[in-house]
Amino acid sequence: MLKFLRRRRHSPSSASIRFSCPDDCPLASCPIGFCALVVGLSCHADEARRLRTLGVFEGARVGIVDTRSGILLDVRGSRLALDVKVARTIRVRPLAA
Amino acid sequence: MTASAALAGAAGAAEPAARPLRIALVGNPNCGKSTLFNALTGRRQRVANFPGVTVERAEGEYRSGAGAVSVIDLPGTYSLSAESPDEAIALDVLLGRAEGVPPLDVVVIVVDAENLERNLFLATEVLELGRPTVIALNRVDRLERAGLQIDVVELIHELGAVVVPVVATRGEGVDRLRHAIDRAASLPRATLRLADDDAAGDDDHDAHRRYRWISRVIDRTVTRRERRTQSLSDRVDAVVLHRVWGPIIFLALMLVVFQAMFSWAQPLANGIQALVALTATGVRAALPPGEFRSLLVDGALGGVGSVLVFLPQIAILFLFIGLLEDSGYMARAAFVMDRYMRPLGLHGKSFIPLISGYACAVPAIMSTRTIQQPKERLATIMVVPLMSCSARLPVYTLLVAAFVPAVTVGGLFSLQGLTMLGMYLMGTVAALLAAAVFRRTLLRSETRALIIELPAYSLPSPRVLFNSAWQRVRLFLRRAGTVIFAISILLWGLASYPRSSTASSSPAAQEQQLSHSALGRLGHAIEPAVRPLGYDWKIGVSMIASFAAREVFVSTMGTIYGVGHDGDDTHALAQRLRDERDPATGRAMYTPLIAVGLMAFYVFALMCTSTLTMTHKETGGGWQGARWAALQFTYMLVLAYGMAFLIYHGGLALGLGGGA
Repeated sequence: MLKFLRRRRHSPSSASIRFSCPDDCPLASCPIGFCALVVGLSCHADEARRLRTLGVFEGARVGIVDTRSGILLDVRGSRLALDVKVARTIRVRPLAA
Repeated sequence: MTASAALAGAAGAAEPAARPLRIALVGNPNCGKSTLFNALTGRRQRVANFPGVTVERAEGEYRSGAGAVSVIDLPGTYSLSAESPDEAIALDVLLGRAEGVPPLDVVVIVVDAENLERNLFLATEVLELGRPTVIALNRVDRLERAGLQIDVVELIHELGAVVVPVVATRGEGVDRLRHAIDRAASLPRATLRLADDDAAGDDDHDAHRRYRWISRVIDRTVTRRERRTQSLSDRVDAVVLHRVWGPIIFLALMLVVFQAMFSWAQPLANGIQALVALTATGVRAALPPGEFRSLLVDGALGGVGSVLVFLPQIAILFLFIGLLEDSGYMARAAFVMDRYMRPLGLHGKSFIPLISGYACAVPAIMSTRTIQQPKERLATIMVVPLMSCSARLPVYTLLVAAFVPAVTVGGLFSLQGLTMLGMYLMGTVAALLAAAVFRRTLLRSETRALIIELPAYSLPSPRVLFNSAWQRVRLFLRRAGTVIFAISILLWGLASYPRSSTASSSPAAQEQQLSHSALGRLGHAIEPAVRPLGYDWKIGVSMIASFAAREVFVSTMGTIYGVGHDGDDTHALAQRLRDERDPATGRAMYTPLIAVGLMAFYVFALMCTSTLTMTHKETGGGWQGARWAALQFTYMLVLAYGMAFLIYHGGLALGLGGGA
C-alpha cells in the first residue's frame, strides 16, 4: 500500500542507509514509508487504552504514512493521526522498508 | 436481555398490538451507523464522518412484518471499555441499565466492511455480552474498489451471529436486515467466546488477545485480491495535511464559509426581514391602534423577526459544517489546527466552533459537541461569544459610519474598514487569551493528545446534508426562539409602561415615552455607571435593551432619535448622532473616542439571550449550567467595561477626546 509513497519520498535503499535505528526507537523518529512493530506504550493510561483499541498495541504492525505534521499511521488499513507528543511515547522496532 | 424479553419479542411477531421490539444500533464512528438508522427508520437524523459526533441519543421507529420496532442509535464508539461518556452510554444501554431506556431485544452491530478488522474489535466485545445480535456488514459496495472479498458465510460461522450485507446509503439489504432483526429476537442466544490460548488478562493484554483472534478470523474470511498502492484519500492527504499547504487550504475553506455566511445569507435575511415587515404592516392595517397592536407588532413580531433574520446564516453554516464533516475533511482540519490550538490548551477540534463564532455564537456553541474532553469543550464554550458575531455588525456599522472618517490609509485601505477589522481582531485575540487563561485556572486539565481516525474521503449525500442542517435550524428555533420571544415581549412592556401623558406619535413624544417608561428610568438609573465610559442615559437604555440581542441597540437608538423605526436608516441615524449636542456644554455629545469605546464594549460584552440560553443548556443545564452562563456573562461584562473605560480615559489622557 505504501509502495507509491516510498518510491516518491524515500528510495528504500537510501532511507535504510540514512535511518540508523536498527533497534527500538520512538515512533516519532521513524521515517515515512517504514513499517514498524509496536514494542511499548509509555503514554498516559487513557491514551494507551485508546491506542490499543484502535489497533496500536504491543506486537501490532503499523505503517508510517506521513510524518510531516504529526504522525499519520496505517493501522490495519485505516488511517490514524497522532500528534508528535504521543508518537514519542510509542516505542517501535522498525521493520524493513 | 432475559429469556422472557426474547419471548416477548417473539410474541410481538405474532401480535402486532404487543409492545414494540426494541433494538439498538452500535458501531464505530464513521461506520455509516447513522445512515443505516435513517435507512431503517426513515427518520431524519444527523450523520457525519467526524468521530464522536453522535453524542445525543437518537431514536426512531419502523414497522416490520412483526409489528412496530423501536430503534435507538447509540453514540459511535471504538470499544465498550466505558472510558468516555459515549462508551459508557453505549455499554449501559446494551446491558439494560441505562436510565430511561428499557432493556433491548436485539442489538444490531454496524460494521464497516472496508475496515473489518478494526470494526470487529467492538463487535467481539458486544457479542461477548450474549445479547441476540445481528451484524449489518455495511459498505459492501466499496469492497470491489478496495480489492477485498469477504466470505460472509464463513464470517457467520466464525462470529456465531447473523451477518447481513447492506449498503446503507442506497438502502440495499435493509429489508433483509429488518427480517433478520425480527427473527433474531426469537432465536436462542449464543455468547461468543474468543477461542484463544491466552487467559483473559488485564486491559493491556485484552486488546492484543482480541486482535489476535480477529486476525485469525480475517485470515479465514477476507481475501485481498491485490495490494492497494496509495489510495485516493492518501494522495489528497499528502496535500491537505501538508505542514504549509494544510493550514492554508483550511483557512481558504474557512474564508469561503465565512464569505458564504455573509454574502449568501444576506439576500435571504433581507427577504425574511421584508416578510416580517410585510406581516407587521398587515397587522397594523387590520387592527385598530392600541396596546394589543403594539404588543403584536413591536413586541412579538419585532422579537421573532430579530431571531428569524439569523436563520439563513445558521443554515448556511451548518450546511458547510455538514459538508466538511461528511466528506471526511473535518477530522483533517482538527489534525492540521491542533498544533496551533495546543499552546492555548485547546484541542484542534476547538477551531471550528471558534471560527463559527464569527457568524453566530449559538450554532458555534452547539458545534462544540464534537470536543470529547469536557474541560476543553467548556473552555471553548466560554470564549466563543468573544468572536465578533454577525449581530455586532449592525452596531459596528452604525458607529463606524457615524464617527470614523471615510479616508484612505496608505492609499489602499479605508480607515473605516480597518476599524472594523480591528474590532474583529480584538475579539479574536481576546477569545484566544481567555481560553489560555481558563485552561490554566478554572478549567485546568492536561490537554488530551490528539489520536484521531481519518476516515476515507467520501461524497456527502445532499439529502443527509440538508436534513442535518434542518435539524440544527429547528433546534435553534425551538431553544433560542422561545426565549428571545419572551424577552422581546418583556422589553416591549418595559419600554411601553408606564405610559406618559403624551399621546402623539411624533419622534419627540416617542423619546419622552421612552424616557418615562420603566426602561427609560432604568437607563437614567444606570447613567452613573455608564458615565465613566462617557455615555448618557440614551446609550444606557440602548445597552440595556440590547442585552436581549445586540442588534436591538441600533433600533433602540433609532427609536430614541426618532429615525427609521426599524433602525434601517443607518445613514440618517449616524447624522443625528454626529449632530447630538450636550445640553449643558453645547459640545458634541458623541465623539469618535466614545464611539470606539462603545464598539469595544460591544466586542466584549455578552449581550445575547440566545447565547446565554445555549451556554446554559450545553454546560449541563439546571444549576450547573446557570453557574457557567452567569460566569460567562460576568467575565465578559467586566472585560467590556474595563476595555471601554481604558479606551475612553486613555484617549482623554492622550488628548483624543475632543469633539467639534
